[in-house]
Amino acid sequence: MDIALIIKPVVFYVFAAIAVISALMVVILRNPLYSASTLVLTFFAIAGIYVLLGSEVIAVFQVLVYAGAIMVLVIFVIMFLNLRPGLFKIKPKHVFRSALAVIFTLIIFLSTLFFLAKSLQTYMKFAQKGSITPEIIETQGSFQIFSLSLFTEHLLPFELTSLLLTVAIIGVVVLIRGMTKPSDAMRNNQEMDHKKNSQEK
Amino acid sequence: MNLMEITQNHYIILSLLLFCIGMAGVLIRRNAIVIFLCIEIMLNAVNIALVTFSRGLDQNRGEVFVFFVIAVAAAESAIGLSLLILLFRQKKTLDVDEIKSLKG
Repeated sequence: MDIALIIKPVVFYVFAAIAVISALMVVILRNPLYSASTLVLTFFAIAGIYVLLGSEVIAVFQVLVYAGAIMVLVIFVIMFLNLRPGLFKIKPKHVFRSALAVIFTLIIFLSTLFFLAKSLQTYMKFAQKGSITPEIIETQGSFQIFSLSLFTEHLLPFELTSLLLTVAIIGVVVLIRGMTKPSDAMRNNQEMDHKKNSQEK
Repeated sequence: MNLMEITQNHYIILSLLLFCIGMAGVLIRRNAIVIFLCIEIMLNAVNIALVTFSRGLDQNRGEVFVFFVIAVAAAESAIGLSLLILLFRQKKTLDVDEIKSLKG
């Protein structure tokens, strides 16, 4: 058997296993910081899946924006909030609710799988195909095709994205500055620490 | 389905698995930050499905759509995390069971 025929499935299954297992760890692990760290691993594995699918552009954006910018922001916020361990205790009602949630998720999973198995093949067969075949991607490169499409056909949404990001930046600044003065929060934290220390004594 | 030949079905099933894991996380976990992370997993699962269909149908629109999804996710994470910080300052907790001021 040709070696290239073996490599692609192996790489796919390795990346898929890393993505699924680390996504499960995000849900299972108790410490939010550990959850965020395993989520970075999930994002890198998904970037590998994008490369296998032949869209390197999205893989680059995935690593840059998701694994880079967003996760740094999340980890920064988790460290900033300084959540104490033991803040999230397991209660009996949580076990019941979790079991219910797992059953609900399984139902959704199995029913979606059923409908996919019924309709996906026919849809892919009869759907209207575009002009960007794998051969064209190989000769022109996925970056060129993506950029051409983004800056001609989808220029208006692209410009609106910049507006959205500007609104988000302004919104964050207003939210953080408008509600409480920084000194208040610091004093509250100190009071909480003081109370905790006196309780321990 | 042949296991050694990777088709679109494999990618779609991976996407479905990740989406279900994210959904279970949102339903099970009570920590607001972990719920936020699980929403990010669900967004990524949808992105995989979009890129898969984009490749399968020889089109480019799915990829462009994923680009916009990533941009919106960046804005959403900035706003959402600052809201979480404000919530923690007000309530001193991120347990969504404890935050019930809006309960009628």
